[in-house]
Amino acid sequence: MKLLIVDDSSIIRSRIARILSDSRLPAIQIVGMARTGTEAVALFQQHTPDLVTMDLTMPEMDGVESTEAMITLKPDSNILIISALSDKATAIKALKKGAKGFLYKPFNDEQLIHALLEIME
Amino acid sequence: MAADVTALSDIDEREIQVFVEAVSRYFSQITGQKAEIRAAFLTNNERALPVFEFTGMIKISGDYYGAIYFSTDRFLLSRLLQIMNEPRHGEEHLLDAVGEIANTLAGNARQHFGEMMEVSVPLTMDGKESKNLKGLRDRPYVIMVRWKQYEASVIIDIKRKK
Amino acid sequence: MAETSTTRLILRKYRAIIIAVTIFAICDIGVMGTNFYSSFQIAESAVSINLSGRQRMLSQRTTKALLLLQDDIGRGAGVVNGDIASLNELRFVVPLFNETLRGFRDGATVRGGDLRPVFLVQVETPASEDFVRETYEIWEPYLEKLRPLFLRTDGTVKIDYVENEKVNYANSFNEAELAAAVTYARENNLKILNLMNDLTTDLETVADQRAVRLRIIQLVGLTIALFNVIYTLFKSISDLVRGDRELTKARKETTEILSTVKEGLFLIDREHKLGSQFSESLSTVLRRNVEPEMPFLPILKSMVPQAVYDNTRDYIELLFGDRVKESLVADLNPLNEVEVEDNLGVKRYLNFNFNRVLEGGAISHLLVTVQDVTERVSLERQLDEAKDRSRKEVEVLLNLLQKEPEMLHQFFNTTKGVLEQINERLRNDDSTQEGRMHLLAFIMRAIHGIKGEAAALGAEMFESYAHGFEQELSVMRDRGEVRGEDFVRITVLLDGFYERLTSLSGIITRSAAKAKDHTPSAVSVEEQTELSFKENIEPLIRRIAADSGRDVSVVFDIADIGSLPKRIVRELNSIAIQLVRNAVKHGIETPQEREAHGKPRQGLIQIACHASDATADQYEFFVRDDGCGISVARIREKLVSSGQMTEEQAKRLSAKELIMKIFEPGFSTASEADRDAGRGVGMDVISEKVLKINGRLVLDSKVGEFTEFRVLFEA
Repeated sequence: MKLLIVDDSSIIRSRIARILSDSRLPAIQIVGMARTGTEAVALFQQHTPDLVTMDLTMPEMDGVESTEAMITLKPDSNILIISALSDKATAIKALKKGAKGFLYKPFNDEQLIHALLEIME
Repeated sequence: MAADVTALSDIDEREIQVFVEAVSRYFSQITGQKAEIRAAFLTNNERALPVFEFTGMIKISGDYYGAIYFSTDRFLLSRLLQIMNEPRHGEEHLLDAVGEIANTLAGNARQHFGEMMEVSVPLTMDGKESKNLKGLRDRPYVIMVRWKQYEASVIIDIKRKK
Repeated sequence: MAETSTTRLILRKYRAIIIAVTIFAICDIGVMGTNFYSSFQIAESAVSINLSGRQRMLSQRTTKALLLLQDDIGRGAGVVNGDIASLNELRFVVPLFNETLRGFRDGATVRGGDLRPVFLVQVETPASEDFVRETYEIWEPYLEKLRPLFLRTDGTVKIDYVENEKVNYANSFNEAELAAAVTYARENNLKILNLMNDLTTDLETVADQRAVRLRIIQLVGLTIALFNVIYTLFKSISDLVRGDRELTKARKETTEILSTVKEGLFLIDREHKLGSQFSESLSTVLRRNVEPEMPFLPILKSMVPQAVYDNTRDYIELLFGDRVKESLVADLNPLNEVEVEDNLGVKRYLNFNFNRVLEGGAISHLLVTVQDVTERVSLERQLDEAKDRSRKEVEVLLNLLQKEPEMLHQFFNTTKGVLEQINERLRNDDSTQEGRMHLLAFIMRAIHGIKGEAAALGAEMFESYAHGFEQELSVMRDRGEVRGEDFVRITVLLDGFYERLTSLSGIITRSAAKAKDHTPSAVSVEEQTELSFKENIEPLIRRIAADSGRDVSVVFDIADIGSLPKRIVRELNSIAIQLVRNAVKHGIETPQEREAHGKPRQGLIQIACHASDATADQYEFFVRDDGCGISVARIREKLVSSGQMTEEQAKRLSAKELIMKIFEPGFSTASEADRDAGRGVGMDVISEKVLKINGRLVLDSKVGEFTEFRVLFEA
């Protein structure tokens, strides 16, 4: 399983990476981390990951647009929205574009692992 | 403002009243004369619980945990037995009587708190056994009850699970 | 996956019936097959019987024809021509007998009763075989003797009949040959007849047996089929009945559940329409009438803001789609603790939960549960607010702890001591009504004192708690009677106070380490005492002034306070707190009043501490305000209006006696009780504190000009 982490916060990016390396989920391998939507879509094209964790508020291209772009490239992409957004409407928009699930920030290790496993099913 | 007053206390006076009223009702049912609250204070848990010679205890678990005690002296219990036409006033009968009151407490607690509280069967103690009883709260509640000229106490030593 | 499991389920459910039907089919086919086979066999038997009967007749006809032929020839015909009837008869019956016999032996197509070809089966029973063999033993020599009759012009002899064959017989046999045949016929005709008779009988027996067997098979098959039908019928009827009963029961249970659950429960389909059944509470929870098959979205639309409505519509669509994971979008449910407003404008909180309902692996419906969570939500909000408040309070205390650790310690110890005193008095209550009123007054004073000190510290958390405590106490006091239950209430409040102190002590302990590192400042202990006294009182005055709309400045002259023992400073501190409180609340007028009386808008409070006689360690401490002064008339008025005295009694009191009244518990001239004054406890506290330091309280006042409280004491 190839995972792409998309978040403009370096803390969140490394946190997700750390949780995954701690969890010893053997199947997941991080193929890239993106700070912006544009970067994310470029990395997506390059690696065609099986799994993407997607922030919503990002510079350049936001999570909803990135999700849409990725789904256009690969309709069966597994995208998990991770956002602190209190605006549910934006998150729902991303789901309508084809993301499969949503995880609230802040999350704990267990919640992230659970969400990723769930989405891969 | 006033609502604020009990915000930090984990026990409500209504809970205390349930036990006190149970005792009171017991006396009025058996003897036709109510038992009344004479005084109430907090005891310090660094000391042993202030109990009389005879004590009945019920243990509480569930949302609340700890114990409730009913404690009194032989004079009250003897008088009570007398009213109940029980001629024998030996030690064990006095213990029986105090256990009976504790049982009433248990019944009322079950009825009132339902699933929130699991209530044990009553345990009775004489003066020796209850000498070094320690409370669970920092400051257990002691409610002094008077029935006729006799004295008894209800000690409420329960905590709410956090 | 779901489909195969459904199939499996159906198979299991109907297994018995499927088996029964299969058995029925097998029986039926079996009986039909046997029937067909048997009737075929019976037809064969009929042919055999028929033909073996014919053999009897043929053997007779052969003999008869032979005799006739001999007779014909003997009568002189001499040479034979083909037109002799008996000869023709022989040439017809002999091949017929011969081929039939062969048919019995080997099984062959022969000419039947109507001379059309028919298949004759080989005889089967050993008895028949014997009869046929024995017949052959007789027939073969017989046939040999008949051969000359069948000699053809081409010199061949063929007995067998071939259809449409043109045969030219030689007719060249002689009398001797004929005679030999006749003789043989005479001798053996009867034997053949008997054998054929026996064969017929035997064939008939076999046929009978077959018929019986067929009947038995039919009977058995029909019986099985009948039982099967009865079983199937019984089984399916009982299944139906049971199914009906279960269905009724299930429906009843569903109805029962739906009528008892407190939550609103309903299904919505892909068209967002409600199902035919929903819980009875639904209407109550939604506070509107709900009908089966009603569209859900319009109901919602009338309850929530447009944005929430739009989100919900999208959310429902997402759940009906199979892309998103149900468990991973629950957080986005727009109707989670949603605020709704009914027609009357009453706001409530509802919680809608959506769960997918799968049918054959596909999402067919959403199960929606609605709960009214108003109580929970508002409790949570209250709790959040309380948490927020106590967090702020803790911040204040922490702040205080940093700036004034000594003060906070002092407050902690004093308060704890006071609470202990109260508890001790409660423990020793003498339970007379008078004693109780005294006890109550004592507690009120004590709590009021704590309140003042908490206010001075800015420890809002304690101040408001003490205020609430005090309020409840005043209710008891005003009732004029202290009941047993009141003591329970008081202990609960006391316990709550202890709890607060415990949390304060936690804060102090946690900060203890920091306090240790605290570098000693350059100021002396004396200066520090003076400073902290000021810092204690000044903000209090400012706060009370702001709260009560007064404009006040304060002047301190307390340099000597630093040299006093801590014990005394503590008490002076408490006294000062009560005095400035009274000065601002009861002394200083509002700026408007002051202006009206020709006074500066801003009031002045002076606080001073001097050694009056340094050699004798005599000190005086005073608080003076330039307010309205103590009005005897107002005290009198108050005594009357509060019902403590009749007008007559009040009139009889001297000015001094009236002024003394303000030192009695429960007296206050402020018209409204708030936390800063007005409960009539302040003066009470002051006189107690003054007594504690063995001091004397001197009051000086002039109506409209000033009030001064002077404490004289020895250090």
